[in-house]
Amino acid sequence: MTDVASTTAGYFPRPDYLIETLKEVQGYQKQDMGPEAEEKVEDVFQQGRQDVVGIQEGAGIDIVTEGQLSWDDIIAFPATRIDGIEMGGIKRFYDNNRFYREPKVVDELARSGEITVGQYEDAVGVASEDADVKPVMAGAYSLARLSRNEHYGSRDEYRGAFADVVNEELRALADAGAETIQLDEPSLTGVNDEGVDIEDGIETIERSLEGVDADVIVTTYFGEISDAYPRLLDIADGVGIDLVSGEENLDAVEEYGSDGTLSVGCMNARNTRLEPVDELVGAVDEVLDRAQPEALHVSPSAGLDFLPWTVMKDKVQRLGEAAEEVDA
Amino acid sequence: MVHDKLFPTTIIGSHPKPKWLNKVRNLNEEGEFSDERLEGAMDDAARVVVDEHERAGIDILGDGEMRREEMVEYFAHRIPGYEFNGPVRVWGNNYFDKPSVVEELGDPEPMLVDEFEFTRRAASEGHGVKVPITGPYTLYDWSFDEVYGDKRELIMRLADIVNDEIHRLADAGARYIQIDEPALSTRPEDVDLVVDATERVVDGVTKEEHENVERQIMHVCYGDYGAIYPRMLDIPVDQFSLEFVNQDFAHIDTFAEHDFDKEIGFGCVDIHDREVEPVDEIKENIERAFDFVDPEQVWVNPDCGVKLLPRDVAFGKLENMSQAARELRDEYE
Repeated sequence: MTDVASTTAGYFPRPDYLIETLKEVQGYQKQDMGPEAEEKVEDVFQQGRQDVVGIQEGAGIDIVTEGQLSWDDIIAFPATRIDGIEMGGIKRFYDNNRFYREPKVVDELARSGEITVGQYEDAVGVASEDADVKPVMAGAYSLARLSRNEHYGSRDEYRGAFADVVNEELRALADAGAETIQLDEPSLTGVNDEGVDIEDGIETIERSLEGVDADVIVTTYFGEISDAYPRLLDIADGVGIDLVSGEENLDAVEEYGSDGTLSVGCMNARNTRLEPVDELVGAVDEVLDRAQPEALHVSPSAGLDFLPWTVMKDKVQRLGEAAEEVDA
Repeated sequence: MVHDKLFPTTIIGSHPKPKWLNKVRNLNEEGEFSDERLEGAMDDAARVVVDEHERAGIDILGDGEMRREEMVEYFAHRIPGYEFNGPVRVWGNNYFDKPSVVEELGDPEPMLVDEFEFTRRAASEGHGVKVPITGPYTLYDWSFDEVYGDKRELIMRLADIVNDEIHRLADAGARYIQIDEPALSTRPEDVDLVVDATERVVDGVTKEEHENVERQIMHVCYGDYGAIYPRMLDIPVDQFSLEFVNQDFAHIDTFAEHDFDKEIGFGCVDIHDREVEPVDEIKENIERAFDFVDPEQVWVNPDCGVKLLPRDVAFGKLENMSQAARELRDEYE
């Protein structure tokens, strides 16, 4: 019997008051990023975190995330907490109307302190006592693909260095009490990146998972991962797939089944159209017809940061309702 | 014609808004200032920017988009069938009101003709006016589609709407039309669709077909142009204006592999950096264009609109850019 739970995929839109506060303290250019700019507004971030967790709990979401309101995107936040990185030009984020500063790796990579452990602890602090809080961390292979190597002599060394940094953070998250961790590896989809190599990806991810005492769900979005899917089953406790932008993922589930945890992105995180609850339940049932994982997480297809705040709230509400219906 | 010389200088579109214009807009939104007063403030701001462009030495200028808040929002507010649900992030802490298509799109009233006519009157002799209009692929990509489902159908509908507006502009005397398609390379597999859509956009208003039109230009930024080259040369425009500095001139080698048989509006100053580049550096930047085109094919512009820069920095960049073009003109003529 599969245990069904609802969850979110991190990356929430910022509430208006947070956008406005950040506008006051930040500029728009390269010079304005990093921990110092963020510390000035930590209490406002905490307020936002509380709101985001509250919305999830109010909607009956079983496994909540802190919303990554300070992250900007998968890469900007960790990049400012890893030594050896300088920020470069603006690039498109996969196939989205969304852009990020490309980190340039100019020296040995090293974790300069905790990346998201503190945020995880803050989220546990604002969540209700028995809530499951899931930290979200950027995966080493995607970090490597989204950055530019100007230091390491070989591709293997370069992605290995990212794996070690991520590994350190995952261990720290586990030490801080995280039982389930979402590790984002959208680059495995190969969307808008012809240089993606599944072998490299799997090897990098495996290295980043070594000795981590928590269930790590390697989560992908924006496309299909049919080739990587069976390999991920071998190396990870859980796999996250996007069924909205990667219908082929359903075939992979049918062919290879699923043990451990399967996180199913069945709600479109990139369109304001509100899916009827029945439609979401139907999508989950399609998965359960093909595989019986130990646990199935009902999730948006990606972070809800691609949507306006009000639409996000409606979507989270429906997600909670859908998961409850599946459960029943 | 203004552009009949080497290295005509131009802008992409947006310019920093004077603080007082934002103030007036806020007061208008709060009901403190009438719409007429806001109109008057936008007129004044447009005159100021046209003057700044002229003083900076820009040949083919604009009003800095003083009347527009954002390049998709502006049109979505005027085309019937859109709804707004709130801000969505573009990058960092930069947001825009990303619209949703909630009904089949209707035909808008004229959207840019008044803006163009005002700018033309504000500009002094010896200057051309460029009119930026957001292209159908970007209008599609930077909104949510809750209705059409079929991407091509929605894009072609938008192409008709944009084509209607360009006809109105051309009839009113617009010579330099710039179709903004920053989303062009979002999905390299869609380039054929953009070719088809642009054919529709320029139908009847190419420089061959319409007596007033001198150039159809397409502006693209943040693109992996390599992934859509040389296919992008099939897009029926006379000129591509592209960013180069932000990408560290990444695609020049790729462009050189085929005959780049259009003009290039060469992005030669970085709009994401507050440092004003010295004239010599800008000259060197521009000369990199000659790796894939002849000097006669080159127009000179910033990478993109300059609205996110402080106003004095934006002016400094345009001024140095124009000086660089002047010096190169002397050297190459």
